[in-house]
Amino acid sequence: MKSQLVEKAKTEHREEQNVSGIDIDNNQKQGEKSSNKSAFVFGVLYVLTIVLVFLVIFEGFYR
Amino acid sequence: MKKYLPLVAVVVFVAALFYAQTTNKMDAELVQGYYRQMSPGAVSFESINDKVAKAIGADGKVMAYLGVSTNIGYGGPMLVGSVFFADGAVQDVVILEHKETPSYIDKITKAGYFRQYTKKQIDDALVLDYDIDGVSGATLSTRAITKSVQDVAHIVAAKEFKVTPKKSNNGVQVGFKEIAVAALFVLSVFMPRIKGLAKFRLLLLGFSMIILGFWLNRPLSMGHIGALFLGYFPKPSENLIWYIVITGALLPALFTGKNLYCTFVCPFCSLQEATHLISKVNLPIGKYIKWLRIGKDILLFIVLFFAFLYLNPSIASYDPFGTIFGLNGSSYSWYLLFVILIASFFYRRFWCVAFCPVGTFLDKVAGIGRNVRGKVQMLTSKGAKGAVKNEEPIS
Repeated sequence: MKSQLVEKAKTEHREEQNVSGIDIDNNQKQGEKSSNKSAFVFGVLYVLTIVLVFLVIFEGFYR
Repeated sequence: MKKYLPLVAVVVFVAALFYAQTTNKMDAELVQGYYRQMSPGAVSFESINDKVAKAIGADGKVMAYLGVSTNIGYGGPMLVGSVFFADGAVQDVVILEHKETPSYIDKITKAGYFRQYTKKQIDDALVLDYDIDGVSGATLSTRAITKSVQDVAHIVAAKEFKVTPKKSNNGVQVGFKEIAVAALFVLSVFMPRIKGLAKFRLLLLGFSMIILGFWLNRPLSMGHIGALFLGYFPKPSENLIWYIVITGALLPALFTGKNLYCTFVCPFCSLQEATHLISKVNLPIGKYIKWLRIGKDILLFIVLFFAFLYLNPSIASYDPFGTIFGLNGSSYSWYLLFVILIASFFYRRFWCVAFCPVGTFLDKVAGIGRNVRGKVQMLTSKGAKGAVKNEEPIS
């Protein structure tokens, strides 16, 4: 009886670990995805700004 | 290889400066061309000095006095031509060459700045804010024009009319503006050192946005830094704030090894902090931050290289400070400002992180300051150890 209870507790603990393991993986993946997304948006804004920066610079030569 | 890059950059800057100095000299033929442009009815021009002359009419009489003079405006040197009637009254003032933003020149013209010269005589003081009114938001440009007119007028007055020009009573002006700007910089030095004061950083930035930004429109710009390297120093009596801003930003960076200006004073940083406070969003940039630093170094190099090559501190300056604080700029400048402000809602201090050449320059100055301090500390500690070693046998 005692050994059954111990076995049951071990199984539950393993299941909990698995569940939390899946959660961590999911969180990590979601975090990476949102980080990649924000880095991508930053990249788009960077390119747009740098184009405008060079337009302002070139405009300076034709004043 | 990487450690030699700063040296290579300095060599390129010096070469560009040398090239510009040898090719940008104004020759006598060019001056004569300007004389003909300013006084088309003259038959000949009789020199008073290399940049001032008498215009001789068909009857052989002096029909006008005229000359050219260069002074530093906001964007760099401005070449201004002045023409005077034979009786000494001002006939015309013309901007012959300039590096200012065209909208500033439009502003000056529309404000009626040039019209006030028609009432002036050759021996008047011709000093801005004394007997000539400036144009708010274009002080540096109007000051350069006024000084150029004065240069020519007073030469003609002394050499041809044999009169002593009137003098202004303007000495070094220390007023509320100068004290307010100096207070911002003093607070920026003490704020990180005094416990409990650092939490008022945003408040100081807010004051700076109002004082150095929207009120005076004098934030540190690449124009200041380029002018410093090219030796375009304004007179302290005419532009004391220029000195307060440049020393207030550079000296603490050099002596403390920290870029205090960007953190505590920059009005544009203040504006971006305000957008961040509104949105409370700061999205991660990712692992590309080191590439952004390289990009900023390249942009700083481009701005300084063209400043040296064209002897014009702000020819390649792209900072949007004048656009927002002076409400003056080209269409591209306004688009740029719009994109930066939108981006700064999502990425905190977007401009500072990825583009600002002023911040990059100050970071480099602070880096030099840290290196020097480190070396001095190393030498003093070595000296102290040496002294201890020398003392040991005696004890």
